[in-house]
Amino acid sequence: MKKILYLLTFIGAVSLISCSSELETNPTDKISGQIMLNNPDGGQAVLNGMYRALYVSDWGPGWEGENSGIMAYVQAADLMGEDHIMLAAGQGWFWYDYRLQVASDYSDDRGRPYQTWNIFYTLISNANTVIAQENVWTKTAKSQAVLGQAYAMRAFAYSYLIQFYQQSIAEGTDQAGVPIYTKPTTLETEGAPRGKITDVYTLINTDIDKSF
Amino acid sequence: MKKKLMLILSCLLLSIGFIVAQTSRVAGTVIDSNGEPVVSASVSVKGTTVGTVTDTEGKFSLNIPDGKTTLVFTLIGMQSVEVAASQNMRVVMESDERLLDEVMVVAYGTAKKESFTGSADVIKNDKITKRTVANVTKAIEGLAAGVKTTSGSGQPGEGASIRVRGMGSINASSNPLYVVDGVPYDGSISAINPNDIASMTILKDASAGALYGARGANGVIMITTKRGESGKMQVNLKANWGVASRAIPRYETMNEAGYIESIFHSNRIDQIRSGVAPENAGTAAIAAMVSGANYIFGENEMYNPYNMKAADLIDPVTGKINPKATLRYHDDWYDFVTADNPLRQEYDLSVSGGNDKTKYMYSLGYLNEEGLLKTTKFERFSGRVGVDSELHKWVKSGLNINFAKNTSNTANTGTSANSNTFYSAQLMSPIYPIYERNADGSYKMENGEKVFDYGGSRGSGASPGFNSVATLYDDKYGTESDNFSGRTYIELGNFKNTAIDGLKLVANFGVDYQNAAVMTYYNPYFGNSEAVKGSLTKSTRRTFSFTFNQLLSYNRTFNDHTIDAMVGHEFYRYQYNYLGSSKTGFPFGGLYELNAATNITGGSSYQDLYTIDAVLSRLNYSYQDKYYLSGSLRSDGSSRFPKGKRWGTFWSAGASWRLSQEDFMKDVEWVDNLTVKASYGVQGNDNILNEDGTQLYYAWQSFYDLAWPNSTLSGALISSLENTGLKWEKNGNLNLGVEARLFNRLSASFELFNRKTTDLLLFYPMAVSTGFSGYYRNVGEMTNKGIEITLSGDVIKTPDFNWGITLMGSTLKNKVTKLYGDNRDIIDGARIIREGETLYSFYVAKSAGVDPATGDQLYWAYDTDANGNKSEPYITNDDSKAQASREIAGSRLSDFEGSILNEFRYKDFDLSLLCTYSIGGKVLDGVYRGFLYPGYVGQAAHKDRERAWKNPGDITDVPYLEIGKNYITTTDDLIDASYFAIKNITLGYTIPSKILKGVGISSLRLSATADNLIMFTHLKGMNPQYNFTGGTTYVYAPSRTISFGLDLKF
Repeated sequence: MKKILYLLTFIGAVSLISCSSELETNPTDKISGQIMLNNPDGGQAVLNGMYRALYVSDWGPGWEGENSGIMAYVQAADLMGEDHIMLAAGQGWFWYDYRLQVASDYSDDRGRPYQTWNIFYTLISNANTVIAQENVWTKTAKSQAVLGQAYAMRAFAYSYLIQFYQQSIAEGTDQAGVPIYTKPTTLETEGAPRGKITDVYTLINTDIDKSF
Repeated sequence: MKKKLMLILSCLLLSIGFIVAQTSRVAGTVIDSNGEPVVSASVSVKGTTVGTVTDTEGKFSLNIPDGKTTLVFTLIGMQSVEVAASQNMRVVMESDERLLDEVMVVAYGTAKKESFTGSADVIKNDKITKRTVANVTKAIEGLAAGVKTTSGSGQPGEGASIRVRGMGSINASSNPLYVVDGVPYDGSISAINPNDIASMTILKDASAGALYGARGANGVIMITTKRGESGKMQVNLKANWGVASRAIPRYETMNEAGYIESIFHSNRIDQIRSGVAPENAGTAAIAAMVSGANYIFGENEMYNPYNMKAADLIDPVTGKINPKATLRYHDDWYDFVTADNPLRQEYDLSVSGGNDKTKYMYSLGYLNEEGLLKTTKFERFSGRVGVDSELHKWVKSGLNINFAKNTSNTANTGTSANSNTFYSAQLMSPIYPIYERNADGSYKMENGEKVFDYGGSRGSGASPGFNSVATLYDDKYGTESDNFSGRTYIELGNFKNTAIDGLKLVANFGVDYQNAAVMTYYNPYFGNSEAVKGSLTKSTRRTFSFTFNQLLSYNRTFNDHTIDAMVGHEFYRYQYNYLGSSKTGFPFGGLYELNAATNITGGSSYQDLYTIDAVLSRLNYSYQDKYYLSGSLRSDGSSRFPKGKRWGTFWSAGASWRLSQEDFMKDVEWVDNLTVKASYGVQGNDNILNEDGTQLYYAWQSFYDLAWPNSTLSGALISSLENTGLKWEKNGNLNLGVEARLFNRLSASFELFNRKTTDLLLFYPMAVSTGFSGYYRNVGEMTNKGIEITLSGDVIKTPDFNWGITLMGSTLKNKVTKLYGDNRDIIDGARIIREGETLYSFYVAKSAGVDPATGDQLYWAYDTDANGNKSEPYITNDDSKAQASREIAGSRLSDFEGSILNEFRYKDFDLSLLCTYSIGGKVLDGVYRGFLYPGYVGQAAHKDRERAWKNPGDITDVPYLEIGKNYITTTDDLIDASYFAIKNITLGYTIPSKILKGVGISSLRLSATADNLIMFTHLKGMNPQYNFTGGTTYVYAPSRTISFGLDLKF
């Protein structure tokens, strides 16, 4: 009987242990948004991630053969501009860029129109999270270096977007450019309409100025 | 001892009878409806005190006084029988279901069947073990109304998917919760030996399942394993041997001649369309088959299966094969990779017994199932131990432990990859050889061995540079897992005759542990990893979860009132650890360890944690066994939601009224039971899924993904947005039902349900320019409504012959009543999720037939102006207009589906026949489309290509087949999903016990089973039960098993 009493007491004691703190769980392979940008070191990591996205293929939903980072977009532009001749379809990659027939896969999220849009706006949204820390971090040489890189990357991304999705500025400055985002994306962020070409170039210029 | 006493007593009674009157002696046997002897039934002569009891074989004999003719047979739990006495009489006693309290397993306890206000189906062991399945989820089909199942893959050990009362969610899981021995189960179902299962209870409505609040919204499948019973030790030995074959036949594909002819016609029309004069088109087509971009015969016609060059082989006018030509070889790839009569063996030994204080049960099982696809198999060693013991008159405790070691050799399946044999071998054109051939068709030999043909010059769709037969043997996929489950409890109760009579305190602790080692190996010689000299990925996946609960209950009857109350606390914690690495570069093939490879190509590890904390309560009340009320309330905190939103409250209320217990019904003899019931409740779902169907534990949080290092510098990219408002998906569930038992022969149950899911956990899309594709948000509503009917009756009931039928049927209507709220749809290929429509409706172009003049597919289309006004529909051959004019064309959901179960018994023979059927609904058969339309060069062709348009004036439903064209999906591609299937036939013979008595065997049953026997569908080869959305793909075909079994008890 005594043994049973001890057993029951033990179970009773274990049952009383509060478990509410156990309800806070976090993944071990990812870092929470709040922690990541606490200091410029985290900001530099985000920039490193952006640099990597420029030379790997696994950031998009597919068709890696055509989406191997920035060089894929440079090459697509070369092909579309006849600066680079493509003799045969080969396995088909880039062939439709060369034939200017990318419109047909506009509805496929692996196709050229979507993916080009996707990578540069992915870079912009990451740059915006870093730039938003400008007034949070104490100003140090390191923080300035990180912010400078973020501004430069944002300017870089917008300059590609405006060239891919609109005629040259020489065609007219008031035509529709590309949507402009300068704040980190949150749930409340609505899809922005296309701004004016001039607005895009103004942002590119001020970002480049700030990057020094 | 008791029996012996009774015997002695009856002998005394008899002897008394002998003295007082002139008598005649009568003997006979008493059996139950299953033909088993009824032991210790009392037999008395009506109107006298003369009587006896039956012995262990159900036999009796007694003397009947003169003038008396009627015998009365009685036994508790059986209906009394009065019959006229005769010599060697055979009396059948039926169990009395009115008296027998059928106890069923329900959420956090058990309940008397008639007091249960909810909706649940119970499947007993005898039904489960008739199905020769390794995974018990495959045994549910057809045995519970309103429960939909897929066929499951033919990969040995794999299970089926289950949907209870429709599809509850879109981006969260719609799978039911599995509970094993009272505790939610995280192990794999294939680790449970079906022979160990005593019963399964499927909880369908809120009243039944709301106590599982957090995870009960999509139904609960409760598996209860066998326990020991007090009494003599019982040993049960079972063995089963069987062979497998395809449950669904292959698609009807063309042979060499048909294939070549169909390709000829495609090429010929192509030539005409590109300007070649029709009289020259045939010759040009043959030339195009020999060389050029779309050639099929390979270099120098090495893959021309005939002994004649193409120019002589094919008639340039008709495309027919020269009748003088003979085949050099004939290879069927799919046939070649399919095993002949793969063996299935199963052995099971269980021992149980106990005394008043302690009961035990243990079992050992071994299963070895070879797959239909060569090299695949499943092997399981399992053991289970269960002990329940009364430690003290107030304290009970028990432990139930299961261990299983599972080994699965699997294969790539479900993808459009060359290494998926169900894709590459099934779609291989019949003209290509498996092994390299000489010009005369004989095998090319190297070192005395045949050489695989890697077909560098096969058509581009025929896996050039690849050989799926070789791949099957040289690549390796497998999983080995150790599975452990433990359930233990301690119960403080049984306070009879004290002030706290009826009070009970139980603490349950359940743990599930699985350690799985998964391997994928690609050989260094050819195929996926030829360029990197082979690759190997190994990972270990460790799952550890436990549930700990403490339940305080009070159950007492005061006169007419019975109260059953319970309060409790429960904590659940799930932990998953992944560790994996991959390397490439092997010196040669056949090395399956990372140490043997050269370059590290990947290495990762992570952990997932998921916890739930809950308080729960229940109150049941009944009055005079006529009126029942039940209520439950549970509050759940889930780690998947942010602080402040994480606690959800779920509840249910139910009532039932047993009309048959009322005085005004008492005299209605033919009504044995009549119950009406109703319940409503709200359940929750927190089971958010990633796009690929894996669990997402942190949907509300914002993260940076660290997998973006810039060379040696660590890098991260933002991967998700924070949503601090994310909360439970809720499921309001209404159930109305009537249950009846009439004439003590017919049972009927009729139920009506209406489930409404609100606050759907939906992936809410954002503009791509925000840098995110979207985030998880509670938006949208969906309803599932339906009717379920179960009828079961004894058609014939005689001592020698019984025939029972159980009919089940159900309907389901699903409707997405609200999506994002802004008219946006979710379109995924040919399926759509749209407000006001059934989930995953087909969304395809409307076919207008085939143009007899040109052979083009025609469509109904309309134009939409700037204001969104649609024009009058018109007919066009324009694919893009057709795509823009797509319309909703039904869904997979059937109009009515169910099962028919027939059970016969003749003397010692028993026969059961389970059929399932489904009427209505549609399937978009992607595999059939792959065979019909020549999307890629060198792929096998369906026989229906014979109907393809060939010449102007042809009236047909199959358009001109252009090689390489992407044919858009039309209403013509949707095939009726109706089917009728014979799922199981089992014939058994129980050897009469009198024969076995001498050798100490109490029962021996021999059986023959045909499982998953045949399915009749609208298209040969199609599996309408592949999934719930009405698709098919290149997967492991389901298998049929023909087996023989032996069931020995002593």
